[in-house]
Amino acid sequence: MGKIPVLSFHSGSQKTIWAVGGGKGGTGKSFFTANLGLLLAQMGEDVVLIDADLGGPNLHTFFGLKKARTDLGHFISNEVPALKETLVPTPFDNLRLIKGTDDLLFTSNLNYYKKLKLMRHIKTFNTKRVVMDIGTGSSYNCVDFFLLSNPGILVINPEPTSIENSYYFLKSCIMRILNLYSRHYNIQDLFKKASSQVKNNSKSIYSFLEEIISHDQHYADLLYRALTRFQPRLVINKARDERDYYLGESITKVVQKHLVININYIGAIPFDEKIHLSVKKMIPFIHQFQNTPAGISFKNIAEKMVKTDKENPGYPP
Amino acid sequence: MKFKKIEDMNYYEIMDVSRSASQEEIHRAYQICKQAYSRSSMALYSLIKDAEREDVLEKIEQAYSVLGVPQKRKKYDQTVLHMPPRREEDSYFRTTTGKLIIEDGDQKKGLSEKLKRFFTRKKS
Repeated sequence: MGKIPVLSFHSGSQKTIWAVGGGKGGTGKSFFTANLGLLLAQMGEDVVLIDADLGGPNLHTFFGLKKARTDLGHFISNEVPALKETLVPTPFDNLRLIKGTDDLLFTSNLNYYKKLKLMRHIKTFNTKRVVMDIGTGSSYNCVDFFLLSNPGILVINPEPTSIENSYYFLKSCIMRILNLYSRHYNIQDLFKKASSQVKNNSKSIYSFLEEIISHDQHYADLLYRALTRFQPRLVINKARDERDYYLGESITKVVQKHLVININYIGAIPFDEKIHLSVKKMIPFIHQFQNTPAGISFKNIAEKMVKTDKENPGYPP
Repeated sequence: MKFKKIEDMNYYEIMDVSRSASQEEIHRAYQICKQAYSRSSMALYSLIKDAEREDVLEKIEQAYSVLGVPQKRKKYDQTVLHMPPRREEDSYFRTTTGKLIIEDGDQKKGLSEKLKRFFTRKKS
């Protein structure tokens, strides 16, 4: 039986590709990506940031960069043969960027194999750390980039709208994994049957697996094992009080039971008016305000990501 | 690694704590679970229905009513989970357990014993 591309993609690779997503727009994904990249660069790591937000890229703006001779679109449309050629320097040491494309035509053209090609080229970079901003929504583009990374980082706000969209995004990721595995094990009929039951009765992934169990415990266990490999990290952005900080822990508990996956909560970033100021000035927040509560939280998160990566590297499911 | 239904989970799994968790860890896990499944919990938004929330919360309360009380927990571990007795955290013997094991174990032959055997062995 052949390998599932998502399963085998990272085997033997020491490179970490972190994809930042989260479903809803405006949660601070690009802000998080830019500042995380800069912190890692300041820690002495060679970092490449990729703006894979195909709907509305603006990662470059956080560094005050405007135009680039080549961007991700040129690689996707085969105008440049190697992704390396689209790398541009930023004003900061150890930090380079691949600017996103604002040509909407590419969003519909990006099929699964183009995404795999993009990831293959990223693997050839002579750098250990790659951070991708995958943008808003739960489209296949976003879901696949998130699943191909090791691991994906979910950035959410302590608001019902953000939580709702994040759950929708996670469910989309989970159903994508289950679908890929069902095809791999040739149990699409069982998958369809359980999916229709889930649609009729409840929307939870737990109910889906429960339905599979009623038909075949063995396959339920196989699919469950696939899901346990999917371990996204969670960041709460714009936390305003103690309850917002604890929200991350609550989310890990409920997601484990009802979406049947393990989320690793890596911290919260407090709301700070100065963030708005830094975006307006087009200078990364932590470059100006490293010693503020938000700056310190950011540093802790970056260190935790690096530490977790060493102890327990995430692999795509 | 098997998928388990919530109703088939044991108390440790319900509260997502390891079986060797301290009473403090169990209490902290309970606080997080209780917060997560409270009526006003934002973490549950759009995820499950209220009836399901109440059902899980009831299971959490039930689990804590046992795991939160050391004597009840010990009985649960032994009778339901068939686990060997756990070492109590405040046991007087805890710090000397290693010594007791050494004393109860096989005696290793020391240098004097080896010399004694060397000089007293019979010539063949």
